[in-house]
Amino acid sequence: MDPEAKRSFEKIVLPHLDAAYNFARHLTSNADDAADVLQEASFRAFRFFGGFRGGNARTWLLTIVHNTAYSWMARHRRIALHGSTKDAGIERPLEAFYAVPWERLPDDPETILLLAESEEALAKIVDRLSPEYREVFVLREIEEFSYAEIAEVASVPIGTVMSRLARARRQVQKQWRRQAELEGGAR
Amino acid sequence: MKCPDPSLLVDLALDDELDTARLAEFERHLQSCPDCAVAYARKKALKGALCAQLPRHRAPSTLVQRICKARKRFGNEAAPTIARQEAPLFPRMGTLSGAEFLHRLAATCKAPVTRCRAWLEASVTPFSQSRS
Repeated sequence: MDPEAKRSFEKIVLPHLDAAYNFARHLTSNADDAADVLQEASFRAFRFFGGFRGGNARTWLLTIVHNTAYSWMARHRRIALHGSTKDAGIERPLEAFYAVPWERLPDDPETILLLAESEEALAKIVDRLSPEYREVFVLREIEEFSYAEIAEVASVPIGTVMSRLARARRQVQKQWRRQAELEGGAR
Repeated sequence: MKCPDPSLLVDLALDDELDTARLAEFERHLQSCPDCAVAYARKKALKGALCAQLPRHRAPSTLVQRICKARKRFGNEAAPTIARQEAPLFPRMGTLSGAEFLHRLAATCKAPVTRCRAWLEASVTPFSQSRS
């Protein structure tokens, strides 16, 4: 690769390493695995950079991370593709239909903040989503990707992104609320 | 504006997925529909609280350094892990043209095929001989 291309790679792709790592970290639910995935994805990105024709570098890089993470998980731990089995209810897609109706969400921001006091608990709730729900949730809520960008990264139609996102949100809200009730009951 | 699916519209609005015209229409609707206005306020507050608490992991500096070093070292070459993973089925034929590949493949297969044929001919008694 010529020096000019190298400089471009550093300028265009490297600024998105944090987003790429965050995505890999949420997909694999593990810091060591995320490091492996990001390293492998970076090599691929560098290798395929010649084929990058401009446009959205962040989406381009995260698409590579997505593909790398899924093939990595398939190689190293087949079960990860189907989500954790610790809480059987949360990753069953149909379970989302039994989620808390949006009308029953807390009324005031103060209650909501009470719900949100445990960041660690929330991280665990997100980790328990199955990967295909977790990735759209993370890309939208943390990385603030548009539906079209998420569709590109996950290689699914926009309609699928919307339905997965809606279900993921319902699952997270339901578990979050349950967690808050448990904590409230324990006090 | 009717309330086709307030939950969906609220999501689209909060995700910044409504174009200018539809967003303006939605905002006008909120002013005339208290139910949707309340739903919008609730969801907005909930989303804000939730997003603020979601863990955002940063790439460890050691990892970034490792990636930068590896990039300099390997240049345009594939990293060892990639090379292993994407190893071609016939490694020595990876860079050949299609015709040359087939030619080499035929040559490679010729010896085993010839041996198999000889073995078959030796082990199977010809039909004409078995009758005599």
